[in-house]
Amino acid sequence: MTSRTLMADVVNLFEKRQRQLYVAALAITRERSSAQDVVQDALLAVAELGHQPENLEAYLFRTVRNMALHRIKQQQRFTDSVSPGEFLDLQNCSPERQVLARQVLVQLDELDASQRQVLIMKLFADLTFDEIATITETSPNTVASWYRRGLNRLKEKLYEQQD
Amino acid sequence: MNSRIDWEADDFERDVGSFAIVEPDVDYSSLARRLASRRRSGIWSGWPAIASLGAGLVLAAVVALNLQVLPTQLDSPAMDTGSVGLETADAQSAVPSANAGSATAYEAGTHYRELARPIAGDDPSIASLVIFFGYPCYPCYQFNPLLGDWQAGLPESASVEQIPATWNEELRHYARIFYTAESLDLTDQAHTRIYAALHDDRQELTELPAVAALFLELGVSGPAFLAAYGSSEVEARLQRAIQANQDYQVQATPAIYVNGRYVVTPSSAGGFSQMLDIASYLVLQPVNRRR
Repeated sequence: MTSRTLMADVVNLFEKRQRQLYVAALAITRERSSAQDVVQDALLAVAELGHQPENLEAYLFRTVRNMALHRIKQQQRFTDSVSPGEFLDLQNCSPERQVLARQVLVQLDELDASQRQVLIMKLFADLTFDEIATITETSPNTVASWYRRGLNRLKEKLYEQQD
Repeated sequence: MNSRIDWEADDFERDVGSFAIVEPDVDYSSLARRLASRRRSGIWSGWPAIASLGAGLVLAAVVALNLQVLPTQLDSPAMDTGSVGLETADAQSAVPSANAGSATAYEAGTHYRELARPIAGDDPSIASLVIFFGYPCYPCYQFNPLLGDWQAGLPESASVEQIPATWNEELRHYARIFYTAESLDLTDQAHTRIYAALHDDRQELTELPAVAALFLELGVSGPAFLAAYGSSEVEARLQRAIQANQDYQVQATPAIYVNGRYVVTPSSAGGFSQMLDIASYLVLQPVNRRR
């Protein structure tokens, strides 16, 4: 495979999946500029490959994920606390919806990392359990389990907030 | 008004999923197309020189032109990054012209950017290249191996300086490590070792004992490392780097600033090797010297 073929495939992939790649990064960084950087880094890293991976799409998603994980690990060494990610767009929300959105963000932060990441990828990027399983290198059943538990926990906590 | 929400079985999932996320302000597919376009131009630029050879030699030359110096990772996701962000200023620029790949096709605003406020140098007759980098930056780690051969090909009169990015606490920590190595005359060995530690070995170098252990591998005792790390010399170099970051208004790494007037980044150039080609072109142009 020549790098020309690889680049053509990379272009196609980004045209179809750039939003999902971005949300996959956002699921971990929970912050737009970091997620943007991660996706760009991944694009450049893949563009410089000398060989075409067997599954370019999976490779790219995993690259995004690994880069995002490393980035937050590095960042958290230098911050005492990490505020809840502000990655929901509240501009067109009613005041009540904004309140709910902020509660969702806070409670997402309280979830176990695996549950949080799966919820964000499923809810906001419409990634399937199979796709998320490929990205996280786990089984679809595990992903589904994380999702259900995370969703139930999120709902419980939001109800508690309202009481 | 009763603001309590009671969700039915499936409503909760739909309700939460209906929130919009903050979208990126980068068009990645355009960026990918630009990279692909530049890659195609680079492949074809050598053809006129080899067109007279037989078909077998032509094919071999195409393969050779396509080979990249960077290490490859077969089916193994690129691990680690500390990328401090890639410059996005050129992400929306026009696709290069049909002659892209030849020196005359490099255009300001497309392949490189002109600084709004050029940086005056001490001696305008000396061509200068300043490379900003960050140890946590994964693209910088990929870019670093290309620099040795490239520098060897520059005019003797050209000065090349690497300056670490310093715009947050993490980067200043790694910048201090860079200058510690420099003060101990271990720049080259430490540079490579630190990149490898962070990106190959996935070590944590955020605590001093880990950094001291790395310098011990390079033959520097703990006390000698600590003395250098905390020295006023290293502090002064760090402060100069912080000032340089501000003067050049560095926003992303890796980035090459040429003669205090131009900046080339991977996204503007279309790749690391292209970045070096454009920097070489800029530094050799007499009209581009600082006044």
